[in-house]
Amino acid sequence: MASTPEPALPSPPPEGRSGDPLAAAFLACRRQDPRGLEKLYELLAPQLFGFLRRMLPRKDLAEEALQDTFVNIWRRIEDYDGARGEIRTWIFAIAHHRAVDILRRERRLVPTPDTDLESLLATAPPETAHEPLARLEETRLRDCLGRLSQDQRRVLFLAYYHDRTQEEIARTLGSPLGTVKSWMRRGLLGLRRCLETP
Amino acid sequence: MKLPEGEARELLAAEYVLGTLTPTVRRRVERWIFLHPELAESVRRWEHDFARFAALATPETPPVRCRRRLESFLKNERPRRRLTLIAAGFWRYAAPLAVAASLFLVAVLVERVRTVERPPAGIAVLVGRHGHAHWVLTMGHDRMRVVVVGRIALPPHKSYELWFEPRAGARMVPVGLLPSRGLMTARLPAAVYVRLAHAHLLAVSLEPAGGSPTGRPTGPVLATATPQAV
Repeated sequence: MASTPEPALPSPPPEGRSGDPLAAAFLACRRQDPRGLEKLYELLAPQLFGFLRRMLPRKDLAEEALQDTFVNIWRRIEDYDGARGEIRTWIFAIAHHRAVDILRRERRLVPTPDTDLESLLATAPPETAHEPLARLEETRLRDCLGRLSQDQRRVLFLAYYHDRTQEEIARTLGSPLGTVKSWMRRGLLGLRRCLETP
Repeated sequence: MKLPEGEARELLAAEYVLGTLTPTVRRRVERWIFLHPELAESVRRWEHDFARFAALATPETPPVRCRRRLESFLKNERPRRRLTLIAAGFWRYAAPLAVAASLFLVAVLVERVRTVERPPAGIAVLVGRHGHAHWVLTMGHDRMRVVVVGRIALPPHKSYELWFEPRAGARMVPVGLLPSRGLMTARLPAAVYVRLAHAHLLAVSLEPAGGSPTGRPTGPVLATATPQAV
């Protein structure tokens, strides 16, 4: 870089929500207070690790992705723009992005057989979602996913959790590509309609 | 190709976030996100929903070694901060020196204010494909100021990077990352200013978060400008 631009100021996180430990930890992190990152780890690591264990076929890869996620939070915290989404959304997007990179690097590995959406939906909602709104949204999402057909859920799961293209999903499921595309289209639109129904 | 509307647009946004689009379509969507706030909003909504999708997984406590690794990372990141604290302690006790330093800083500050008030020596309006201005750059006197015109959507995990082409057909030279909203002021060494102000072309490309990993533009060029002397 020829010059080092001073960082732009994105929208702040929701500081006003007093008593929100996630927002407080995030703000501390933004002040470059290491205790902020440690608190974020305490609050989110189990949920992130559970997610990464579902996405990645080996435990050591999930550990690597978890470490990289927190390093990226620390180093890229100024990139967060409150106007573009919640803190949790931003952090989970970082984790997903990192896991996708690792999956692509380790393409030869086959996901562990027990990772499917049905088992995710069958388990009780995690109690670690600190914000009541987040808990409500997760319950709503479970409900909406439950209304899709099993095939529609499966293709969404394979695309998001295993970074599979539609062609790869068609091969995995032994179904024609056109059918897979149709399941995905209907699944996504069904999900959107359901999530937006008051 | 036109931006699809209605359900087709919604699907495009969803598949962009899912990562199931082909590289060609993906790049096209990234251009559209830049140009169409409604698509950017759909992408933001799907990101939010898929983050909830991720949170459905049953929590699992990571091994203790993960926390230790993070603590070790933070320890290595701390020395810079400690140095600042040591310096602060030193100044607190070295009162006479601090007074002298303060006077010097006031003099520097006055000069800075006068410098900032000077008119810019160069200006560039970075314009997108449809003729809309997206960033206005004013350059000169050791500073560059960037003003974002309106609000620019930034795709997830991406950054906007500014480049200049010294002369027609020459290799692009990176300058720095641009904001997607508001205003930014950056230091601009005199040597860089001279090269920028006399550049054949300025360009903004869409790059992975943090900037191009190769030192060359890797994503689509979204806006260009010819710098003008004032």
